Amino acid sequence: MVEKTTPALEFWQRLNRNRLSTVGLLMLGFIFALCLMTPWLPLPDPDVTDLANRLKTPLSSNHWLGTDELGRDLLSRLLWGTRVSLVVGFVATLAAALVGSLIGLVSGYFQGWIDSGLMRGVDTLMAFPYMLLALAIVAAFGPGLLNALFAIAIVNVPFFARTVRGATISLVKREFILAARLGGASHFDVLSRELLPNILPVIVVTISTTAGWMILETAGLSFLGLGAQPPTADLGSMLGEGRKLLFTAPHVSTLPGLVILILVISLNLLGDGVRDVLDPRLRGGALRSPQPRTQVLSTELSSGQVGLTGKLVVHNLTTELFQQGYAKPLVRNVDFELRPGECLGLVGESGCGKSVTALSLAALAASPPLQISSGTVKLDGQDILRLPLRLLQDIRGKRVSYIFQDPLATLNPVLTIGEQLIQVIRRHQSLSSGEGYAEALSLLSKVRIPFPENRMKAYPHQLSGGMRQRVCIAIALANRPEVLIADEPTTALDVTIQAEILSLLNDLRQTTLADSQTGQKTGLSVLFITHDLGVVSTICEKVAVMYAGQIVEFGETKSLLESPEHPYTQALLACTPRLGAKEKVLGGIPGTPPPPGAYPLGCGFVDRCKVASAKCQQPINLLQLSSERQVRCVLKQESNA
Amino acid sequence: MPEPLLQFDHVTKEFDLNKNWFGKPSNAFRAVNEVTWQVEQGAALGIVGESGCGKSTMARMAVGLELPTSGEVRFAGKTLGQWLKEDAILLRQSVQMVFQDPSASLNPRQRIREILELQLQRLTDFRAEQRTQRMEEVLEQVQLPSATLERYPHEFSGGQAQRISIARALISKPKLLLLDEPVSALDVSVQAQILLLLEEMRKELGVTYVFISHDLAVVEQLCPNVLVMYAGSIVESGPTRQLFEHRRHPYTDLLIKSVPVPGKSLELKSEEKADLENQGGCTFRNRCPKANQQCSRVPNLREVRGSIGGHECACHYPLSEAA
Repeated sequence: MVEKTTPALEFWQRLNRNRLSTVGLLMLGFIFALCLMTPWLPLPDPDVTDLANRLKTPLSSNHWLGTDELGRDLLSRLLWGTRVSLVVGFVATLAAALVGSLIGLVSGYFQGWIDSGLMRGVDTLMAFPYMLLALAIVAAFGPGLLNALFAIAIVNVPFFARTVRGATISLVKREFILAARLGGASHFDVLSRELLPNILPVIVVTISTTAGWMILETAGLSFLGLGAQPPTADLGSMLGEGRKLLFTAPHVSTLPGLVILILVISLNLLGDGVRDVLDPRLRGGALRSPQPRTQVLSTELSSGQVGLTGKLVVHNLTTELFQQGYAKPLVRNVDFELRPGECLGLVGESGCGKSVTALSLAALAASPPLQISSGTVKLDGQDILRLPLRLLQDIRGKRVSYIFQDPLATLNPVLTIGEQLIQVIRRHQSLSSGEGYAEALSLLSKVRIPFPENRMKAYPHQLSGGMRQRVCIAIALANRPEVLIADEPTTALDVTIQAEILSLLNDLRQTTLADSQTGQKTGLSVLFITHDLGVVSTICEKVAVMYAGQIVEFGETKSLLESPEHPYTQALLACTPRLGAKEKVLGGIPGTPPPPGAYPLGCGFVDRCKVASAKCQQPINLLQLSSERQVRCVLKQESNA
Repeated sequence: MPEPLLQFDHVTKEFDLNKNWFGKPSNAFRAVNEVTWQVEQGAALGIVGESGCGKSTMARMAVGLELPTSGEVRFAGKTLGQWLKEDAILLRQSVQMVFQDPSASLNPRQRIREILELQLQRLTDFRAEQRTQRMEEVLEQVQLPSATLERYPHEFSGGQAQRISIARALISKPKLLLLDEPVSALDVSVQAQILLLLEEMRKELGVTYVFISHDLAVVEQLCPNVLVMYAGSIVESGPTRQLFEHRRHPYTDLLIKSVPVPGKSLELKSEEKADLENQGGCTFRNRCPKANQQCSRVPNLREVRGSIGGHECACHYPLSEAA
């Protein structure tokens, strides 16, 4: 299933994907190789003066890069100097990393007064301008390379301490740390064996992004005459010596400056690449920002089932995950129609493709990596997948709107409820801000939020989970949509709150229906996505059951739940615990669903099905059992034939 | 009457929300309020309540991850404070916990072998071959192949990862297992597998369970007795079946009526709720349809008249039998 790769190999492959970081790596490798070979290269002694040959220009005989004012060979000094700068820079980085990470780990893990104490110390260090602090340290200990190294390391400790502390704090509350503590692990044990391996990538990333900076700082101190002392060459001191001759012999200072530039650029390019590979926040394709709409591959225009006159007709919808040259289907040939005023439930377990289906309907599935490879989604007969972007955006949030599972993630944390509502209203309706306010207020009372005037000024975090979801519903209903797509809107809520939200949604649906009876005959159509068959019974007239990216059964809620035809629906119902039921449901369905993207060609349920046979390996069509009932199972096809 | 294995004796836990300049708490949140209960050796007790009702705080206090602000938590007769001082390793061996999120409860950088072996190294003085033997034994108990040992946590599905968590908890042969929402993050079909596994483990090993969940139906599968919590207090307790069928507390009633059941439509009432913040008294009074003046006094947990098996309810106006 998964290609065999070692973590190291994977690291290189991912690093190589960032071309610039490969360039950085090559440049750095070249400089490193040169520096390592320096003692064996046929070069003159870098510190021997030769006043007869002073200030030779580059490309003169015996001196490729010329000489400085004491007649010393610049190429030799440059190579030896780079060695010194690199060693000092890296040792300082490692020292800062070691001390800083230790402080960060300890204060993030223990927290409380240890954290306060250590962090106030770190804050104090940070309060000084770094160069000033380094100067003070060197001034106190006297000039010299070693002291410059200490100074640079100390100055950079806070950077590591803060980064590592942040990463530690986010891990300490994780259950595996609690489990280790419950497993009798000592503090040292938790720090070294549980926390450190998880923090290490953060430390490596920080090292790779600061090493260039540290080399620059070392050069800075040497430039001021506080680092390397004559006659020792290092890039900074060479720059300092050449400064006086900038106009008479520019090459003396330009050459070390160029080396510093190349060194720091290559380190930063490499550091960027390393960060992209190791930073967990940037993993999983987050670097590639999705386009405003899902890519649609096929250009089918008029195909589609004849005779379906629903509000929203989905035909043959297939959405794929496109990664590394392979397209893996997540949603396979999904057909359904949503009639005016109808609530259709889309039920399935995690990874069955129900959310991807929902997002594909308004071309919202993140692309890349997702793409719609076939199918049409018709709103009143118009295919919305292939509309120009501007027209599609006019439909989103107006004619088709969404509610998602996590209201806290859906709402913008820095805008008030009122601002967010008014924004959505005014995007699609030409209202003045005063009219927008009035409209927003009436929406909030429509979703039964008490004291709507006060809540207009509230921020999302000031509301409870149930209230937040009401706000999301208000936003979804703001422009009187024809189709509402609700993706697990009550899953994150407590059951008593869930009951309230379901009741609200049901009432809203009914009132829009009543409105429409006077005017046009369009009520709010709802696609309700959930994993909970109980919720479906409460709110949906019809249900489509999804498994492994396909609809396996479709029918009216009552009859489908009373007499399920597909073995999966039957098994799912049998293992749903019911309060007060006579029998226990212990056991469940053996095995696990196929992971997204690895769906078999035939029936997805074949491995877990009690009645599976060899025929189940071939693709199976949805069989129309009656006008309102469909099932995708070989057994039913045989018994019907 | 068997001796109680775990006892909560008037336990209160407060968290400081704000501290003043001198580090003194100026605003405390009472997560658990004067709670008393116990569980006997070999029993399985369910604790039910919605998010924020204090059930997870209780679980943490039961294993000694948090210490109570007042009151005592006793395991096998000794307070956890004493245990931690005198023999922390024996306590850790005997009391283990399974967490809600299976993927977060396994260290992503360790192979399963390392996860399980570390637990054994820390809690037992087994030699290497004994450890290997025990690891294989416990993996067999949770029905996973021994090849599991060489893989990393991310290679497993939620259900498998939860089996590994259970294996880790059981590896030191504990007497008491705290299960904090162990199946809430799992799909229904997998949830039922884990419930069966837990039921088998209990029968086979005689482990005592404290099972914390927001899902009444799941608790009913596994626990003969149950506590219902609301806002830090126990509002009703008793034998599971009896409590659900003859519930007396209006909150229990609301909770049960809110659970959607496949094939049945919820009776959805669109009642307007007063958003008044009444301080003190019964914690449920702001949401309770029956609340009146009397409810500003804190109700005590009292035995329900005519009940068998210790059915208790904390309400001034308990529902009548007919409800």
